[in-house]
Amino acid sequence: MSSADDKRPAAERMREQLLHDFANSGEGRAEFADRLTTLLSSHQPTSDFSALPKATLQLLRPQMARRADVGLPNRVLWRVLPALLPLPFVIIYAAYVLQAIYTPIAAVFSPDVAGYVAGVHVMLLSLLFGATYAAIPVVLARKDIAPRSCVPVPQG
Amino acid sequence: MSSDEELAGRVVFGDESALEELIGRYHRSLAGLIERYTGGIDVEDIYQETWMRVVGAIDTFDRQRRFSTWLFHIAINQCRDWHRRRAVRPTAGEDSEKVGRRDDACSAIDARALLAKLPVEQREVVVLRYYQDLSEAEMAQVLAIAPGTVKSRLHAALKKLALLALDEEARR
Repeated sequence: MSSADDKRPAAERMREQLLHDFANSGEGRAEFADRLTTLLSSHQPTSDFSALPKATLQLLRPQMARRADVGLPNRVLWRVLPALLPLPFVIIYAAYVLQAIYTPIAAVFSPDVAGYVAGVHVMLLSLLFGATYAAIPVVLARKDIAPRSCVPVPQG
Repeated sequence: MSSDEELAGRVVFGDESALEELIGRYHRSLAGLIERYTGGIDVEDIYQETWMRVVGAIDTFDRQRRFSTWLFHIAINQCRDWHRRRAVRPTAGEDSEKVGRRDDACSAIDARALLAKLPVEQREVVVLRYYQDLSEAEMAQVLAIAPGTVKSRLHAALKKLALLALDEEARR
C-alpha cells in the first residue's frame, strides 16, 4: 500500500486525499477537508486485538498441517529432480574407476577376486547414492515438523 | 525480506512461519479495517474467518496481484456477509444503538458513530480510502467495482458524512 512508504502523519495524508477527492468543489474545499480530517482522524481503534494473531495461528494450524502433508510429495519431487541431473556423469566416472580397479586386480589375483572387489565397490557406491537421495525427503519432512511455537508473533 | 506474494507462495505448501509473518504484517491494518467497518462488533470472528478463507483459497491467489488487495477483498466480503447476517436478525439495530451509547459518553463528535450511520457501500469506501490508504484503482479491485463507481461513492459518502457531522453539531 502507498502508506508503507509515506512517513507523513496519517491526518496530513488524509487531508491531502480529501482535498484531492474534492478537487472540483471550489470554495470551502479546504475548510471541508479540515473538518472531515479532524472528524475521521479522531476515530482510532480502541479495542486491544494483540492476542488475535496468536489465536488465529493456533486456529489455522490443522489447516496448515494438511497443506504441508499434501505439498510434501511435490516439494520432494522438485528437490530430487535437479539432484538427479548430475547422476549419469557420476555413474560414468564410477564405471571408469571400477574398471581401473578391476584390471590390475584381475592381472595380479584371479578374475574372481577382482569381480568380488568390484562387486563390493558397486554395492557401497549404490548404498551411498541411495542414502543421499533418500535423505532429501527426510530433511524436508523434518523441516515441516520443526516446532515453531518459540518464534514470536511480530506485532504490526 | 520476502515479499507478501512470496510468503503467500510458501503458505500454499503449509509453511507456518510464512503465514505467521503475513498475519503479523497485516494484523493492525486488517483489525482496523474490520473494526471500522463493523463498529467494533464481532471483530475477532471476522478477522479469523478472513484468515481461514485466505488459507483455504491460497492456491487460487494470482501472485501477479498484490496480496494486500486480495486480503482486503476477502475481508470486505466477510464484513458484507456479517452485515447481511445481522440485517436479518431481530437485533439489527444493535450496532447503531451500541455506537450511539458510546457517542453519548463523548463530548466530541464520535466518528465511529457517524461511520456507522453511513450506508455500507459508502462506509467501506471511506474506510479503505482514508484508513487503509488505498488508491482509487486499488479500491476498485478490492470492492470489485469500476473506478468511476468508487469515485462517485466516495464523493457521496463524504458529503453525507459532512451532513451527519453538521446534524450532530446542531444537536449538541
